[in-house]
Amino acid sequence: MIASAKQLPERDTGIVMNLERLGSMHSNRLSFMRILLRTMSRQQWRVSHSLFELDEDGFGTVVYAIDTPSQRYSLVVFSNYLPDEKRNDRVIADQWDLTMALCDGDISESRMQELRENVPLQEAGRLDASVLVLSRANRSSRNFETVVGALAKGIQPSVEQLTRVGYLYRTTAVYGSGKMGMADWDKVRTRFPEFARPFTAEMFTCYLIRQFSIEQAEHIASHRSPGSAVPFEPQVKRYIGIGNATGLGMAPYLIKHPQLIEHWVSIRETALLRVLEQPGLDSAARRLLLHGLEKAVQHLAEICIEDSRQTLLNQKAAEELQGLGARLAADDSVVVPGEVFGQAQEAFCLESQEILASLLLELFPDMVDELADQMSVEESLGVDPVMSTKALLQTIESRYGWALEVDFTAPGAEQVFWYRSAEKLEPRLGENGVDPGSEWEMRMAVARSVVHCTTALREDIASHPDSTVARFLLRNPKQRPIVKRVQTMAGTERGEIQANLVDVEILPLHLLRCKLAFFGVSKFDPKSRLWVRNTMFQGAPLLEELGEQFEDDWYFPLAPSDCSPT
Amino acid sequence: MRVSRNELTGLLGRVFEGQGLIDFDAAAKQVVWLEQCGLKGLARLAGCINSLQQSDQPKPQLADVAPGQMSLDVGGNSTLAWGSTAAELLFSGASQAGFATLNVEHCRHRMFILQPLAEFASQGVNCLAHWQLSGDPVLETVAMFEAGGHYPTYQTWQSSASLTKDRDQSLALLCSEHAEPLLDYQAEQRDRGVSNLRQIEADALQAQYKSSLDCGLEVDNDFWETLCLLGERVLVEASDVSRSRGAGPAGN
Repeated sequence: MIASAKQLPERDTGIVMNLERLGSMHSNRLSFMRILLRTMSRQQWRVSHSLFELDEDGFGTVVYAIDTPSQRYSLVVFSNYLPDEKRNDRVIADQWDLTMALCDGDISESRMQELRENVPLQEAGRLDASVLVLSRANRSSRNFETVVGALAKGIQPSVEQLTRVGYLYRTTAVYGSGKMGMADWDKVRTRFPEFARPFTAEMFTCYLIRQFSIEQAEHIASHRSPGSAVPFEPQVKRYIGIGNATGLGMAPYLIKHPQLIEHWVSIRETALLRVLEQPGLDSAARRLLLHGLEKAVQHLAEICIEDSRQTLLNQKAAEELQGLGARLAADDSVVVPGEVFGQAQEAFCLESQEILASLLLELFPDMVDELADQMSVEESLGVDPVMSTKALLQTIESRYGWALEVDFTAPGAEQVFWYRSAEKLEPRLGENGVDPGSEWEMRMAVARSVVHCTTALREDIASHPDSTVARFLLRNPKQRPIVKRVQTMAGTERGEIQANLVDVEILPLHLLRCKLAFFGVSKFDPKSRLWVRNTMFQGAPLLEELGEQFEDDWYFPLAPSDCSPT
Repeated sequence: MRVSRNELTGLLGRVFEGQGLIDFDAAAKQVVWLEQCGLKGLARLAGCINSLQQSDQPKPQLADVAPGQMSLDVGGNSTLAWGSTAAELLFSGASQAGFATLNVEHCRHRMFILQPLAEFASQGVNCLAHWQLSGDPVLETVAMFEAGGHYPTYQTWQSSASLTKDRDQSLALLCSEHAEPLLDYQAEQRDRGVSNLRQIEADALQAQYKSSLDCGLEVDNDFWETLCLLGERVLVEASDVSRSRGAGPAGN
């Protein structure tokens, strides 16, 4: 039985923060890319070339000038020749096809020289606090040459090929927040209002890499065949996104920033609850939901990946959502969002449930979009030293029951560990007793730390029944990091990912996908349990389309239907 | 070279983790905060970086002298290791009694106490730290945070008072709901004879802090290299196996 409208409780924390569910999330109206494009459109950002110096093969330098309501920024792109054998998506690579930096203000000659000397080096270079983002991208060896070749011949590239790989370049790292000497997040947040939401500057950089990739492909084609080359048709161009390869580096972020994650997840849940509380859909919203279901089903069908697990999930989700669409279309009665979602929660796989959640958020943009301004939070974990140890124990038992339920005596429960590799500090997974480095294990095992802390607390209370946390930590200094975390997060609902991250069965992929869904990517393409390819901004409006008439409907992008090669 | 707060904090965290500090993130914040305020956190760290290894350190011993009056012997360990604990004991005592003092004995690198105090002062209590440095004359320092403030008024002066050896490794901490007891304490210290009084206002420290966010932090190249080397201790040597099994993506 589904609760009636306006009486729905929020989804239980244990449901929302389940790792597999988080790993089933999809992009939605509150994803950072969606928010970014709405902001760019609303604020009428202007992007132009202040430098476009590419040779006939597309190598050289391009500078985009970005004018926002508050100030000018510049994105500097260096395009260099890269032999195929040097092209590597891993973070440990040291050469790339494209390197770029998003900077505050215009680029003087001297500044350009500094950037030219450092940006192509990426992690090995040094930047300053006037730089917001550093990134790099590699060509898709499958796509770039054939797409340029098609344009040069005067025909549109194969949509079928773009459906398989929907981008010309893949970003392999996007750095911000003070890395390599760049501006700290606190500076970005307070001095650059356009980029005051988390990862907005990073997403914007990716959006402009996509723009560059399109312009470069057309540029090369036009030089290769000046008389016959054609530009992309708009719908093909829109279907070109920017690829991304994400590995384990993203996973520790979710554990290290529980307050931010709590914020993001809670805002999404608030938005969802607002929609679920609506008594019914009017005819326009009903049509939009049916249209969204159709889009999602087709989108899933167009995903071409090798991973058998994700392929099965996509197929199942497509079947379930198609069935739902058919049922709703055949029934004239009022569609109650809470009922539809409740039934999905009982009957559908997690993939379908989370796609449906994303689609429901599309139905009431006015209720959802205003929450975008709340995506940022000042983070600080701190100890409450006055709290009694008994109160702390009660807090753990009531808020971290999920952690206390983990059986660490079970085989494999502590089999893996997370560590930082000497190669560019890349986070990696090791196996206890097999791989070296367990003595420098990263603090990813929140559940295990909670269990250890609880044991220490119970022993301490037995000998010091009326003590405070301050004195407990004096006697048990090793518990400080987890106590700080537990006390800070006790006042929140959804900051902790409820999983044992050192279990042999752990799928780090879920962590990556959760964060990527908040970013707004699509077409998750798992390449192993440790890394995933995906597509950013596919189907997103192009720069020239971001006018006042901007249609914010690029979710679950579909292949253009009327652009077959001729 | 100039570095950002984020990368300096991250690097120091790895350095302190490698040296065995349990709350290495907190220790990193203690140093970086001082540096951002213009109080030479990095120079002070450079002077003690090789003495921070946490092996066989004695457990701190707490004694309750009277209600709200405590003494903590940290056995010669660094404030980077126990500073947060001391501030928490102080705040906890003041929360229960309205006013608390904590005399820390056998402590080193006392300046690093300021950031943990700032954390609690910003929550609405007045905090004060006082320490002496032997010499002729003795150099005294008092940093006082007003309730709700993030930055202290920082005073140093020369004193004609004589100093026992223990006082050179002692730190007096006070915390109160009301400012008067702390102002009285400060006046009492200065009444013993003061020369060359220097004062940095909280506003000046705040301005320095904000400027450091805008421009980054200047770090000596050699010291940065030293820190990078120390930070490598927590990094695990890569191998073909770790590349292939422990990470991804795996090429184009």
